[in-house]
Amino acid sequence: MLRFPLLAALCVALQALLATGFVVVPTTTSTTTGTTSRSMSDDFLAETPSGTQERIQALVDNHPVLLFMKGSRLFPQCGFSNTAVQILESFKIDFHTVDVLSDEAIRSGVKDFSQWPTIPQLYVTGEFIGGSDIMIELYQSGEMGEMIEKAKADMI
Amino acid sequence: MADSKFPVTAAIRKNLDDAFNPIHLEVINESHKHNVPKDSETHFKVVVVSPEFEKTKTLIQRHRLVNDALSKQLEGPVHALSIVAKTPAQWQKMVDAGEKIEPSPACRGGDGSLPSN
Repeated sequence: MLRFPLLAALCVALQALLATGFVVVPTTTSTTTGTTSRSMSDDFLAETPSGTQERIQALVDNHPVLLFMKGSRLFPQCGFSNTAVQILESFKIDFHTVDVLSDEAIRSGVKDFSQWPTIPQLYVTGEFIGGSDIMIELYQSGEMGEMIEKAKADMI
Repeated sequence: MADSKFPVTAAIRKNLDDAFNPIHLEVINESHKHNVPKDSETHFKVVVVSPEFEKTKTLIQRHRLVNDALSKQLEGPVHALSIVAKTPAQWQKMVDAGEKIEPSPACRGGDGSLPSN
C-alpha cells in the first residue's frame, strides 16, 4: 500500500525522464594508470563550437599529459596514434587520452584549437607538442623524457 | 605516375616545391596501406630538405610551415600527413650515416569511413 502517493508519482516520473535520455549522466572510466573520457556529444543540448573549445581547454588545463587520438589507450585504431601511445607508455606515467573517433565535436574542434590538421595531438602541461612524427624525434633526442620529467611534478 | 591519375600527389609536390625550393623532395602516397579505396590519395609521407628550415627554431614551427603549404590538401582529401623536414646539413648527416626514411606505421583499422578529416 502506498503511504506517499505523491512521492511514488515523482519516482515514476523521474524514471520515465531518465528513460527518455533527456537527462544524461556523464561517465568516466578509470584504469589503474590512466583515464579515458567518454563522449558527451550525445547530450540533449547540442554543444556549440565555442562550448567544444572550452571543453578542450578544460581537458588541456586538467591533464598534465594529454593525447587526442584515434581509439583508446588500450585499443588504438590508427598506426600513428598507436606510436604516440607506445612512446607515452614507455615513461610509465599517468596520462589521459581522448578518443576523437567517438566524439565528432572534439575531432574537428581540436584541429581548430591546436591549429593542427591531423590526429594524434599531444599536450604536455598545457603546451601543444605536436603529432607522432614530432613525438618520435623528441623521444629519440631525449627531449620528450625531459618534458615528461617536468610534467611529473604536476601529477601529484 | 600520370598527374591526371594522381592530382593530389601532383598538387602536394608543386606546393612543396613552390614553398621550400627543396634540394630533395619525396612525396610518398601511403594510402594503399590504409583502410581506404584503391588509388586513394589520403595518406602521405613527405620528405622535404630545404635551407628554409634553417629559419625555424622548433620542430613544431617546421611542421607548421609544411602544413601551411599543404593547407588546401589537408582541408580536402588528405587525411594523414607524415612529415620529415630537414635542413641540408641534417639531411647530409643522415645520408652519410646511411639512415633510411622509415615507412609509416601500419594501419589499425581507423574508423572505416571514407576519407575525411
